[in-house]
Amino acid sequence: MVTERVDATEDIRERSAAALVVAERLRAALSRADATAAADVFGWIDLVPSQELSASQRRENYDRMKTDGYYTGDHGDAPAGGGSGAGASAGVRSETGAGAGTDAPTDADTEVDARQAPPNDYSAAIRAATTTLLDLRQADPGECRAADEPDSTHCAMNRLATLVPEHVGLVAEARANNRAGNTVGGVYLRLASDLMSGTILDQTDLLVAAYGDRVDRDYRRATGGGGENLLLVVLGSAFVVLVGAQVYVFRRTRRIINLGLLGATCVLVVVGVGCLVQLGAQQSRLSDAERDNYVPMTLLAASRTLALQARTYELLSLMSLGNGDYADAGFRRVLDGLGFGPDGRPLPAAGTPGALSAALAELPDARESLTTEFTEWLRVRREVVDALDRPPRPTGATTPDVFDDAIDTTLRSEHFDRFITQVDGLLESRRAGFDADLAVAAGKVRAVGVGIPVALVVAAGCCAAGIGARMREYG
Amino acid sequence: MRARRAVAALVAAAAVTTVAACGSTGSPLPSPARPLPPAAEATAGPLPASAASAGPAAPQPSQPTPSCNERESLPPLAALPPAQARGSRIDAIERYGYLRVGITVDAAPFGSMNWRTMEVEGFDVDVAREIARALFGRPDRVQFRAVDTRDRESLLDEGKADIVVATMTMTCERKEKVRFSGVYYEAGMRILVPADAGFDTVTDLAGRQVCSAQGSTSFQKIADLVAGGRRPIPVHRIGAVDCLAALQRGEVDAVATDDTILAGMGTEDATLKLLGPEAFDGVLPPERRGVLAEPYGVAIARTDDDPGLSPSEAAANRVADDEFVQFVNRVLLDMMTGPRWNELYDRYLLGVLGPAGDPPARRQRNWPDGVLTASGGR
Repeated sequence: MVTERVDATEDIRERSAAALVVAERLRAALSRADATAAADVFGWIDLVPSQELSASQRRENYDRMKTDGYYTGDHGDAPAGGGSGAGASAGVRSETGAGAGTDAPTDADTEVDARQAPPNDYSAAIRAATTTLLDLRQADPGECRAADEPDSTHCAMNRLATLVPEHVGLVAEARANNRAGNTVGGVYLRLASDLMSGTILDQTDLLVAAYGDRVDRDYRRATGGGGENLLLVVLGSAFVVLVGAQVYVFRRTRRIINLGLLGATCVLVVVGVGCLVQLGAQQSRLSDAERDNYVPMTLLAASRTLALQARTYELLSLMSLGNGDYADAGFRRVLDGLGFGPDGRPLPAAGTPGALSAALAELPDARESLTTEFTEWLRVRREVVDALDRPPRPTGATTPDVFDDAIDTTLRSEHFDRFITQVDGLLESRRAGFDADLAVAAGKVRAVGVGIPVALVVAAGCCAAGIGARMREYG
Repeated sequence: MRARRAVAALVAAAAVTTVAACGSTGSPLPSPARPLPPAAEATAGPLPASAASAGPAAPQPSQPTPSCNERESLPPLAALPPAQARGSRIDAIERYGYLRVGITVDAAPFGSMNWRTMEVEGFDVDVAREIARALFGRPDRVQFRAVDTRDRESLLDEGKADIVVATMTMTCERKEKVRFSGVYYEAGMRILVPADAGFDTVTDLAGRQVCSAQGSTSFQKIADLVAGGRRPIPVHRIGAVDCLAALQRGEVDAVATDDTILAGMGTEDATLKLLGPEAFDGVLPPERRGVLAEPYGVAIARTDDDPGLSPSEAAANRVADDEFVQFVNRVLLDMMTGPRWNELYDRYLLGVLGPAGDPPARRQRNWPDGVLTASGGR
C-alpha cells in the first residue's frame, strides 16, 4: 500500500506531470516558431528602415539584425539569445539548451557557447521544439502501435517528428522567395502557418490532454482511500488481538495491567494515529499542490501558447493588407480562449472561462502586472487595426505612411514580449513549487512505510515480553 | 463494562478518522487549460480546394450578345470637371480623403507587395494612383486593400472599396453586380507548365490537374475547353499565386490564368514555361480564340441596387455612378492617348511580356463602345 502511494506520488512528479510540463513547453516552442516565421516577412524593414539614417546608424542596424531573425547563417560572433527587432518582437525567447522541467531561460542558457547559438529566433524556437520532443521521448518512453492506438502519445510524437521538418522546409522556401522578392513567398508562409495551426499543434494538444489525464489518474492512485482502509484493518486487527490477549492474561492471572501488552497497545495506537495523520497530510499536501501550483501552472501554460498563436495571427493579418479575414477570425477565436475581447476587457463569465482569465483568478498577486502588459498589447493592436481600416486624413503636404507605421508600431511594441516573459517566470515558479510539494508529499508516505513495520516489531516485542513474563510466573 | 465502552469508543474514533481520509483526490486538467475545440469550418484557413468543387461560382466566359458587350462602357467625360462639380459619388470620396482601392498583391507585375519598400506596386496600382491624382491632385491619396479574386465583387458590394483595379476581366455576368470602366488592358488566358515536361499543348494536359484562382474566368474556360472524358481537370486555389505554389509542389500540373500574371510567375521560377496561343490549336481554331480574351476593366461599386432605396434615390445614385464611371473613363482615355499608359507598360510589363501592342483605346474606334477594330483584340 505504502509502496503504491509512494510510487504514484513519484509518478506524478517524474512521469505524468513532468511529461505534461514538457508537452506544454513543446507546444509553446512550436507556437513561438510559428510567430517568428510569420514575422520573417517584415525582417527586411529592419535592414532598410524607411526613415533616414546615417551610414553609421545603418551599420549599427545591420549588426543588430545579425543577432535577430533575418540572417540564417552561422554568425558565431553574435551574442546568444534573442535580440530586438522583428524576431524578438514576435515573442521569442531563445531557449538554447533548456533542459527538461525548465521553462524560463536561465543564466547558464544565455551564456551557452556562441558556436552553438542558433543563428536566429526561428532557429532557436525550432531547436527548442526538437530538443523538447527528445526530452518528451525520455519522459514518456514507448513505441507507437499505430494499428491499435493511433492516438497514443507515442504515435503523436512520431507524427511531430515528421511534421516539424516539413514546417522548417516551408519556412525556408518562404524565406528564399521573400528574399528574391517573389510573391509566392507569402503563400509558403501561409502554408507553414496552416500546417502548424491545423496539424502540428493538434498533436501537441493531444499530448497535453493525454498527460493531463495521466496526472489525474496518478493523483487518484496516490490519494486512494485503500491505503487508509488497509492501515485501519491492519492496526485495528492488531489492536483487537492485543485487547484479546490482555483479557486472556487477566483471566489467567487476575492482573489487570500487563505492562508489555499495554506498551504494545500504546505503540500501535500512537503509530496508527500518526500514520493516518501522515497519510492525511500527504493527501492534503497533494491537494494544496494541485490548487496552489498545478492549476495555475497549467492555466499559465495554456495562456502562453494561446498568446503566441494570437501573435502569429496578428502578424499574418498585418501581412494581408486588409485581406486577413482568416487571420482575424483566428485571432478572435484564440482571444476567446484566453477569456478576453479585442478591446482588452475580460469576456463575460458564462460557461468555461478563458485560460488567462482563469489564471489571473488563481494569481491575484500577479494579476495587475500581467493584465497591464496584456491589455496594452491589445490596445496597440487595436490602434493599428483602426489606422489600417480608417487611415488618418492627410494634413499638409505629407500623407501618412499608414502601413509602414502599422508594421513599425506592431513590431516595436514591447508589451507582448514583457507579457510572455512574465508568464514564463510565473510558470517556472509554479512548476518548482509543484515539484517541491510532491517531494514533501512523497516523504510523508515514506515515513508511514518506515513507521508501520517498526511499530509492529516493537509491539510484537512488547507482547512477547509481557505474556512471556506472566507465563513464566504462572507456569 | 467501562473497559468495553472505552474500547468501542477508540475503535469508532479510528473508523471516523479513516472514513474521513478515504476519499481520493483527483487532479483533472482545468477546463480552460484544455486545448481549444477545433475551429468551425467557416473560420478554417484557406485550404486547397478539391477538383470536384468549384467554390464560389466562376463567372461564365462572355460571348457578346445583342444586349451585352462585355467591353462596353459609358463614354468618357469630355474633360475632367473641377472639384465640387463632379457628382455626389466623387464628392463623397473627396470628403473621405482617400480613394479606397481593392488590388491584388500576388499578381506581379500588375499588383504585388514589395516587402523591401513596403509599397504595393504594379500596373494596376499605378492606374489606381492616376485616378487618385485626377481626384485629389495627388497620386498618394489611395488606401489600398488586398483582395482575392473570388472576393472582388463582394468587396465593392460591402462598401469596403470605391473601385477595384485587380486584373478583373469584364464579363456580362459581372456587369450585373458592378459597374465597369472601359478596357484598360487586353489580356488573354494562357497556361504555365513545367518546362521540358512534355506539355506543349492543351491536349497534352488531358486528365491532368490545371489550377486557376477561385472565382476566375480561367477556371470555367479550362472546364469548357475539351469535350469528352480526356479533358484537363480544373482545380482551384484561393489565388493565382497559390496555384504557382501548388505547381512548384507538384500538386497540380499546370496553372491557367491571364498571360500577364503567368508571365510574372515565370520570372519567379525558371523551371516553368508559358505556353503561347498555339497551345490551343488542338481545341480552339484561331477564329475562336476570342474566347481566351481577358479584357481588364476598373470595377466600380454600384450604389443604385440597395433594396432599401426608393426609386428616385436609386435613380439619383445611378446617375452618380454613371458620372463616376465617365470620370474614370476620362482618366483612362487620357492615359491611353497620352504617354502614360506606355510609360507604365514599359516600367512593369516590357521586361515580362515584350513590346507593347496598341493600348485598348486604339483597338476600339470609339472606345469604350466595346467594338473592336478588325485588328483589335488578341
